[in-house]
Amino acid sequence: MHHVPLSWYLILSAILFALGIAGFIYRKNIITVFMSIELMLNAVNLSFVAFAYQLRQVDGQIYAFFVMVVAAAEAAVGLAIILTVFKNRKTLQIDEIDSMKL
Amino acid sequence: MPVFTGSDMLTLLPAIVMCLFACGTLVLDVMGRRIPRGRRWLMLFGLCGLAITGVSLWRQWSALAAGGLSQYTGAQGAVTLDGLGFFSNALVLGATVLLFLTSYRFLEITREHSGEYYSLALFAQAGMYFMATASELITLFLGLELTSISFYILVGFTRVDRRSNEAALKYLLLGAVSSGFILYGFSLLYGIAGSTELADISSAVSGRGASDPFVVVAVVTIVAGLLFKISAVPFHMWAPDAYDGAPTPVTGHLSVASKVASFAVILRLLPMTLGSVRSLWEPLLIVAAVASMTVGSIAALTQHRLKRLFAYSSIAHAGYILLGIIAGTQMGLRGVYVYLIVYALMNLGAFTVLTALHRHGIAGEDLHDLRGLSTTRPVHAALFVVLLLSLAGMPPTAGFLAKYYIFTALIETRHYALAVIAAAYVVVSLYFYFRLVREMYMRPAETREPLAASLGIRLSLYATAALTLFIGVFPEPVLRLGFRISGVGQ
Amino acid sequence: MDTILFFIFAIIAVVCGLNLVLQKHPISSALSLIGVMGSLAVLYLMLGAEFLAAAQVIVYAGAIMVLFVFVIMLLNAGSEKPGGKSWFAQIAGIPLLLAFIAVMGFVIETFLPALRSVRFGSFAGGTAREIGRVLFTEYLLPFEVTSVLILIAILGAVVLARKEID
Repeated sequence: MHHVPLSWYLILSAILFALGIAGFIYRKNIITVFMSIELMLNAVNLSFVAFAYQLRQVDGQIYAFFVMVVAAAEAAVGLAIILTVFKNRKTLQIDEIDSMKL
Repeated sequence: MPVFTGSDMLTLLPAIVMCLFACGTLVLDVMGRRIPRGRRWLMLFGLCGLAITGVSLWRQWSALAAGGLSQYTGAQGAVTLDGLGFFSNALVLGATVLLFLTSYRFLEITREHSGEYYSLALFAQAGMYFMATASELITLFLGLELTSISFYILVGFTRVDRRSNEAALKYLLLGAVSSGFILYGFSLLYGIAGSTELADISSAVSGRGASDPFVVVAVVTIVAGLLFKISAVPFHMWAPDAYDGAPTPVTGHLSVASKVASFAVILRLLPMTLGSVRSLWEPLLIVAAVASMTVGSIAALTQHRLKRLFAYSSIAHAGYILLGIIAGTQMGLRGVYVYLIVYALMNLGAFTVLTALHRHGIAGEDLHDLRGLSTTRPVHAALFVVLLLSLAGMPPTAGFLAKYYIFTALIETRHYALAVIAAAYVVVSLYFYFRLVREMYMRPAETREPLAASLGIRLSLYATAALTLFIGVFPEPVLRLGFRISGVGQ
Repeated sequence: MDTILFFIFAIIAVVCGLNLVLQKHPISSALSLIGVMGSLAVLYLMLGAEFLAAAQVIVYAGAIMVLFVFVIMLLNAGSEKPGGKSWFAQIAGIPLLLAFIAVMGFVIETFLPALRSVRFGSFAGGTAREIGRVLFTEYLLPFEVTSVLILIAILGAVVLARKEID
């Protein structure tokens, strides 16, 4: 086979998305959890770009571009929230931040 | 050649007004730091912005009516003005007005008063404008994120409060994941349709049918993400924590405005765009609705923190609203609209009371903080009882009417089992709302510190309670207005 | 050549993704995420998305990840302690995720029969010129909305991270 079928790109995207979910479920450090979410967004971007290739359109790439901008904004706000949490509690373990559990 | 024409500008006018006033608030905040009581002007300036937003919404509506159109798509197909959008925006506008009125005193007490608060609320409102009117996936997604990110910040606004930080963190992490799911579904829809316009997606999906696994995966991921946004079970875990930790006026706003806008997104995406694959998402919504009513009603029984209790109660209400979408008929759709109006009124009223409980040195977030309210503040207590009766769905309040519409729609469409389950949980919910009444009327007061009943709080409490009663007794005028705006006919 | 490049970078992406999930120390996870992003940039290039490939390196790997690494360093975050996970995640998590990948793989292979095969250079729609043209005509409104979004992000970072004034 000389050329890669596009489906492999989509499957790669699904694998990365699943890895992102796994990181979100299994990791305990808030920053790592947040990075797993970034991985999910990256996976989504790959699938947008792959579909753009399939459709010979630039729209999918534009969508991926907007996802990047949103991810940047979310990261800025998210890291600011993580900073305030850390200032108040001196921990980044997600299971130690549970003062509201009853 | 300009990209946007005059009519495009009219379709975007409310969002432009909101963003301009949001920026204006920031500038005023910097300029007005030295002026004594300058922060009062910030709130008034924000209210001015809301009034102009209201006028521009009305201008849009009358322009549409003058042209005899039922909908208008502008800004290169990105924004559609229609009944759903006007309805949702009007309701969100009302909620924001009440947010501004109730926040002033609260922010003074928590010493967090600044222009950013009002500015973020206006930006969130602009986001909800795009959620309710977007007819294209990119704009819809950006609207969702604009709203979510503003709310993450507002939830964590009281930075020194550990609970507030924690609430913001949980809301952020789970919100970002749900956005990821929605996006994954959107990417598949784009792959199916080759376009981001909802109209193209609708025809492409109906061409492929409900048996296409690709459509199945797309629908499932999108529904999961959307259920998160309305805090329906099983994606409700964030709601009790986020509601509990957020500043009380923000909690009220989150539970009303963001939920109304999210329901607008659900209505636009599921019945309007993906209506041809109803057999796919209807079972998912049924499961979510029943689970939400169950978890919401039962978990609320044991809560002693007021905002957690209302979080679970609003989870249950989301379940009832979903029932209207499940019924799917004209009656069901009307039920959804009536329920949203009534839910907005009674929830905002209830959160106004909770905001008033927050006094100097008293958090006012626990059930026993209500004790003796009937003697210290008889009017407030009585109005709160009206709102609670409405939340429980008792006549002669508006809550009864909302549930009546939903039940009629369910029976019309032969969803008898769902109707019986929903009725059973009405009885359960009576008990936990009654617990609040008991605290107010049958327990002596613990403190003499007066309630923080500023003018704004009194205004919004009187308005919401009066309207709740009025709609319950004379439903005709308000409902006719609601149906006329939303365009679901008489 | 295309096949070899795809496999090299797909494998790097998956290995780095796995490493992100398996590492205990956030800085290792952050570095693996940069690996994922870098290899995805190469894949974008092969799919004809030049501009995005550059943006991926500059914005994602450059700006966003620097922010992450900066915060990790600032907070001096150490390795995470093993903690109690919910029983549901322990038992059902991994099988469910594997099932998700299997289902997606099956669905993609079976139900999207008309997919093209990827040949580098056969689609060159993603140049900066083309992206810029579309962005400032067809997608002008979303573009303007992102400017508001970024303003909110700045506002939020300032509000949340500023010192007490009074």
